[in-house]
Amino acid sequence: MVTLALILALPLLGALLMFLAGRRLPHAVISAVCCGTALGSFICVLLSADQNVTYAEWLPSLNAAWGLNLDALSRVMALVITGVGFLIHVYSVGYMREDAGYYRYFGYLNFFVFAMLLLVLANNYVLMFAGWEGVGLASYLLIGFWFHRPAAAAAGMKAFVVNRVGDVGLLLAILAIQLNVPAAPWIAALLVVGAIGKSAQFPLHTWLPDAMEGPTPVSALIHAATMVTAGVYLIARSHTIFESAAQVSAVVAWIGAFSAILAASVALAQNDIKRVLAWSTVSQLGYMFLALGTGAYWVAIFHMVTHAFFKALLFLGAGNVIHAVYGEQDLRKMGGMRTALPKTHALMLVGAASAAGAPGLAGFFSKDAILASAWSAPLLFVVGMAAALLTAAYMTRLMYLIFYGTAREERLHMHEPPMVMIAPLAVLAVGAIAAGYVSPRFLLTPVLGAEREAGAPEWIVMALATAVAGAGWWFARGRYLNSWPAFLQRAFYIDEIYDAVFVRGFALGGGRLLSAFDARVLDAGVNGVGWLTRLVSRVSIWWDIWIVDGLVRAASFAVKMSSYPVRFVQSGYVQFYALVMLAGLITFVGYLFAR
Amino acid sequence: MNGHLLSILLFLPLAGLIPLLLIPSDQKRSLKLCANAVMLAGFLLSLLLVFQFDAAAAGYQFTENAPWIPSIGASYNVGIDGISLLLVMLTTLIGFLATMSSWSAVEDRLKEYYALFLILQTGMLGVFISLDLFLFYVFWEVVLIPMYFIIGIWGGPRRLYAAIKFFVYTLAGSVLMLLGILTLYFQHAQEYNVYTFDLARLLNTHMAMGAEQFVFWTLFLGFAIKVPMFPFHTWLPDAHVEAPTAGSVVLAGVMLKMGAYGFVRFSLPLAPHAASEPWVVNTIATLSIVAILYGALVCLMQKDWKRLVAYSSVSHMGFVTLGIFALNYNGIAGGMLQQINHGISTGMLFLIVGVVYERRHSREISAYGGLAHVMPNLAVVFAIAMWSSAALPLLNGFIGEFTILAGAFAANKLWAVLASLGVILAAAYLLWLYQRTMLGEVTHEINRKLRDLSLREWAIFLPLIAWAVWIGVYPKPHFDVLDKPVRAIVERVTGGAR
Repeated sequence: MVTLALILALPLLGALLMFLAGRRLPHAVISAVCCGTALGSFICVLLSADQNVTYAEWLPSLNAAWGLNLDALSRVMALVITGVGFLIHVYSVGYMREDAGYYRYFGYLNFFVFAMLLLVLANNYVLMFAGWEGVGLASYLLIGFWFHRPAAAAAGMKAFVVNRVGDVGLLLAILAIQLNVPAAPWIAALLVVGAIGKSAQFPLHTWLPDAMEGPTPVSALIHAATMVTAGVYLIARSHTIFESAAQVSAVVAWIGAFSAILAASVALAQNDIKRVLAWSTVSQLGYMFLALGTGAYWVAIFHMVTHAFFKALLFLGAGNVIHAVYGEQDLRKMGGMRTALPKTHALMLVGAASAAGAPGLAGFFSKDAILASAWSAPLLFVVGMAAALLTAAYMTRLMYLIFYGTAREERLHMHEPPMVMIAPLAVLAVGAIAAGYVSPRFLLTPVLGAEREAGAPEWIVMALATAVAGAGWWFARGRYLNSWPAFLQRAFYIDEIYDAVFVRGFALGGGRLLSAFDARVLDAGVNGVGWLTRLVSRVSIWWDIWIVDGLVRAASFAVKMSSYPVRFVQSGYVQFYALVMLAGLITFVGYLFAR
Repeated sequence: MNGHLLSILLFLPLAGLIPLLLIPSDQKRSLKLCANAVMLAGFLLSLLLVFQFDAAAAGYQFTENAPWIPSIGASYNVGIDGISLLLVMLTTLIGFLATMSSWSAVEDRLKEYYALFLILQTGMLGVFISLDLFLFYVFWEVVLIPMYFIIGIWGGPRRLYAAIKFFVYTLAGSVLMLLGILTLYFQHAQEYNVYTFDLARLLNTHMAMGAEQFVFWTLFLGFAIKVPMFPFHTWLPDAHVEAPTAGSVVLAGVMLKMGAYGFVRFSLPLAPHAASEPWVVNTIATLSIVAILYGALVCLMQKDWKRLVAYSSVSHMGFVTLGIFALNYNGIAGGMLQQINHGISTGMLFLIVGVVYERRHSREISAYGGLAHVMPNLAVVFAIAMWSSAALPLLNGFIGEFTILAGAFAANKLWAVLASLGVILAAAYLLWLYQRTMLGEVTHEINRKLRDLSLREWAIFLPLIAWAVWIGVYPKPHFDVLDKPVRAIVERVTGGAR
């Protein structure tokens, strides 16, 4: 119970220490603390027994609590997270040595480990979602780590927002699950939406290649070995929901197969060393989805483990290459680096061979198991094989462009990095060779169930896989300097289409339209009422002055006018009155006489 | 003293006016100290409520009742339940922090400025603790006047337009509300032959459907304008943009809550049948969802930092009203918690704009860029506020929005689907704002000289951050105090109990 909590607490405390006091700590302390917490966490995973513990209430009305669950599945995940995580922490000590944001980097990295462990250890979906969003936050922070570069800041935002699209699907699925809605295919479908966002599967894959703006060890840990496999974990963890949703499982398999071949073909055409690996990651995750879709859940986790080894190895190797050529990432400007970087070359060769499916290495066994599980669906099997061929081809092209042939650009002082940046690769290389021999099948099948028997003849699948890998190697060996058509380099223009439709069209276009509506209709209506009020008041004033008051004035005027004749006589002069009296008297007397 | 705790809390700001008015106008420092001290005392006093509040008890606590205008049946009747408790705490905290944030931002007519804030504080507290509709209406109107002057005197260039718009628009709403209150008052008198504004007694009124609907919709308009709900929101951006920072913080942090509080305290319990009719619920839920998406999309187009935050309020308050009109436990409890969350996160966002505006005197987003290099501490605080507002788990916003979505999901799955799209858009506009202001290289040389957060500014942000984390990590105490009153409201609305 204590060690279980420590698994999470150690990296969290490391992160908090970095955020609160890291600025004033010397590099040595930072390195020791942050690598130490990752290693300590790894040891705690090993020491803890399987258990399900609830520590405290969180959201009682939604059945969510602070509770952790360690079983075979979360143990495998946690070992990869903390094990590979530790190695990448160590590597980062060398890689980030001269960076001004050293403490910040390690704080983020420890925070990532915490969030990722929360994701896989949470014993309820809501808490898992907290980890899910936490790794998204860590990813955002680390992609945009060099935030002075606008491209890095933009890539971080893109990753987060595209992930949020998937997160909404997951959120709705979680609501259904927490509110005890009976398992239904639509819940499975919503889970898939979440999974493809985090695991960069078509059609939500576009953020991952851009995420390569982050420091290379981050790409190795977050965008290859661990975080992007969260979608795989999610589906494996929810396998009971998928077992009653056959159509959704079929969709998962097809998303995986399609992503695998799409990304592999794009990887073949990339000229940026890290983008090749990023597309390769999308492709390999596609394989895992293929396995999930065919019901071979443990096989997906198996490939996740081997992939963590060989892809982290390749990324760290790429980091050494980039380090040696002072930040250059363009493969066209490399070449012939084998002599300057013999150790890195040897180690990366192991990784590339394992990824390409060279017989006997880790990647060979897990990929073989996936292909075998797809045997009963011939079309999926063929697509999987084709992707395997492309995998071998782009790995070959990558290695040739970096290490073989002649240097295509003059370079001075190329040298191997310090031991701290070699040793972690060596450990990973051991895994990339040997992990295939420790199949987690017997560990995982009690949790995930056994795969459906596809009836694949084992040796035929192996032979075919070996043959296509060889074919891929042979194909790419002679053509590695070829340049590829633009639609492959631009990844079928999917980014451009999304930008036009969703970003410019829906979000910005909708925003512009509604802003205009807000100002021209709603607010104009309010101002219109104000204007109308003023108009009415003006009319009232006019009415008041000219009609109401006018009538009064007219009446007084009429009285005044009609008074003039009377006023003429009422002058107030006594003499005048006497004169009139006299005139009257004379008239009267005159009248009498005249009669 | 405990018998009159609420009254003391309510009138403390008004009492604070006396020393404030005695201080000569040119003693600026003393004026500031006096206002801050009164607000701090109010906050500390309100902490007593928290410690003495009994979450397990039903009904109102700390009640006080005295006749006020017996001839019309108005009384001084105050008390709080869990819903009010949270809002009172929000008011005392935000009121204090807003006052503190004015320390160096406002330098002219200080005495008037702080006096108005003290009056405002009493008005807002009164709204949240009144259990008599006449008293409630008086406080509701009292709030308008100081805010009108705060915007109109210390505001930006278009302050007169904004102040008049704010005043007239919300006054129009409150007059309608008065009409509803009076209808209820006379309906009650007709039935029982007793004239009273006492909420508890008015709750026993049996109205014909037509009358109940009239009461519901007149109250609705008054509250909806205050929230503000789409399409009654256009006073808000102008008021927010023109108001001084502290005014915006109080406006968004506390005053908008009065509307949604009115829904749960008065609309739902007083007109439960009218409020739960399907077409009514569907209409209001639709308006809420439109507000969520509409506000978020409009945010994307804003060039003014403060205006963006203002429109984000429209979007976030849409979640609150959606939760309330889901008419179930999760919806209403989530909505009430989200009120607090919105006060915390939007309060922080406005304070951040204020910090930057005080140094640079521009609200244009394009006037900034790369501020994280110059003001790293502000960048951290802004990031926390942003994630809190964007509903990142383990911060407060997630707890509120997730619970609301659960309520909406239970009421109608489509509501939850549409509203959750707002979560994507919220991330988009907030992250984009952050990218344009904080990240990249420093775009304007003049920005290189900007000072980072001072100690006083840290002191303003820290309590809000702490509360945001507390709700995110362990929201239980909040749900505990909300539990009883929310259950009572749900039962009244859905149980059909009269």
